[in-house]
Amino acid sequence: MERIAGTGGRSGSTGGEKEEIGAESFLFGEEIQRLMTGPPENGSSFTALLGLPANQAMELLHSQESDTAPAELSGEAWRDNHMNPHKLYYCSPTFPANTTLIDRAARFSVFAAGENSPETSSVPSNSSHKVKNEPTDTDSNPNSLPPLISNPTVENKNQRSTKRKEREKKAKGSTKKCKNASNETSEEAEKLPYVHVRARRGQATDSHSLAERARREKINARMKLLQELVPGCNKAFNNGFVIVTLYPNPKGVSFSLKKSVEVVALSVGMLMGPSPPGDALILFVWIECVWQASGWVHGTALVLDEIISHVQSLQRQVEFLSMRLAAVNPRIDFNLDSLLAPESGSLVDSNFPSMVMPLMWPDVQANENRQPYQQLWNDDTLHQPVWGREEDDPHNFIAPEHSLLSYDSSANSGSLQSNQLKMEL
Amino acid sequence: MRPPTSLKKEFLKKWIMGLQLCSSSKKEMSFLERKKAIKLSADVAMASARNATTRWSRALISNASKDDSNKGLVECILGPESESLKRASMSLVLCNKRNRSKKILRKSCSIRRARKSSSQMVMASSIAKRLVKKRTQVLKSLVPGGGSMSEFSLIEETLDYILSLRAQVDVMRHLANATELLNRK
Repeated sequence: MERIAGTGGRSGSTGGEKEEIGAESFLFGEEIQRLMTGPPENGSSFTALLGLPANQAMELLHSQESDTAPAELSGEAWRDNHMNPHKLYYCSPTFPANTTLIDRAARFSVFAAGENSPETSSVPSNSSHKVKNEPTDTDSNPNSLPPLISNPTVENKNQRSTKRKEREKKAKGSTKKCKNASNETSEEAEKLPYVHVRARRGQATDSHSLAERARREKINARMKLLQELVPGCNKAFNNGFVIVTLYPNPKGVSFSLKKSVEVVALSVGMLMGPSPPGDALILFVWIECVWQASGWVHGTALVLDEIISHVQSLQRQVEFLSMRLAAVNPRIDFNLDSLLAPESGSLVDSNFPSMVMPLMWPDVQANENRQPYQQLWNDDTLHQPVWGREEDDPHNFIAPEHSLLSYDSSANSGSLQSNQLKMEL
Repeated sequence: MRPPTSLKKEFLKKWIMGLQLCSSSKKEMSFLERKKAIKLSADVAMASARNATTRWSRALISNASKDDSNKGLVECILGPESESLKRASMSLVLCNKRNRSKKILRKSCSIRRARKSSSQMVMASSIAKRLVKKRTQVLKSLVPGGGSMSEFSLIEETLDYILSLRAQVDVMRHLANATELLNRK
């Protein structure tokens, strides 16, 4: 199929941007198709919107809503969307009654637990197979989740074109899709110079960081668009504020505006990958997308659940880590001289060296802690059960750490840290 | 946007300072005491890295300095700005009490109102509201100083708190790994 070939070609070009293929785009696919109205085919893609000044972008978006026929469709879609949550209310407050939500919840946990690259690399191959079957399924059962996986994934690899998705939904023939694909690739080629990624002085130039930076700049562009869409947020110093105003679904906002904002938020969210990222604005948009994906009203509860579990796990990790540190040192002396001693370094730790500054490490005691360390272990029986617990904890919380912190470094980084420390000082 | 690495640097600096202070006190501490001291110094360092610009950090500092035994440590970590910070955090505590009494009044009124309007139609949204409310309460209990914030500010504060927690966990983990590796060799 030419479609698959097209996507294959595109996946080759955007191979570096693996993170873009957020697996939770699966979840959003359904929502996107519900959110978007019918296709007024003025041929402009979503990234084209980003290039335009905000007024024109708004005009374009508003012109979507003027069509009556698509409006009915969207109305139905919205009603569908609304009906679903109502059914859930009579189930348990933790939403597992609805299978789609179970799927989503499972997927979220899976995504959180897994790593980005292997998942995303496997996704394109899967999606290419499914493209053929998808459009027939999408219209028939809008509620089932898995068949909708590929469509938005394939699209969202490169662009967040709402109209493209609508066309995808309507068009049963593959020829139309090929046309769209070629359209999008040409537009993408046109739009490529829009995102300039040049390696600045002192920054790494490998493909990963370049791709990462390109991704970030795309996200920033979309966040700016989001800010322009939502009135009164232009001066927000913190982009998280944008989403906070969206959060309780303000009533004064028109439907079309809300939709366009949702689209942008979703697109940003899809760029970011499955796990919560490590930046304020991005975290907020991710939350917003979780909210959107999980439905309209009870999504708030879901998002709050997510936040709560995140905070709780982080606090638990702090506890465990302080216990670990307390167990390692019988007295709280962190022997920084020995940290700086040459060790055989193995892996690169990106975080710690950047953290180390020319601090004045004050004079620390000698390595007396080694011997009393052993003695204390034998003597104090209180330590024994604690240590037993302690051994479980690193295993336990290394897994959630991997799940939560996407930029986790390996355990061997410690030896290289000392190398880096020495180099810094 | 505050870059995370600068946050980590500040945190590390202040935390090491606090730990040095702990170790300089020559008494023999038990495991739990050590753990508490480590955690406390980490938390206070985290909060002070924010320079009391956020409510959770102020609440954390005020809670920490309430306990007399920790006061010295907290002051040392905070450094020269400790006085102004403490004043800010004390005022926050007073505001909390006022807000809490207002909220109790409001809650009692709303309960009376809710009992009247419990018809079939409203049930779905009220269930949703109850779910959300329960969760916001849990979140408020998690975030330090969360009891006195509105829903909007709660979310913002949570966001900031999550970021700081992440940085803290990262730094602590690196340090723990480094010291463990060294002790093994």
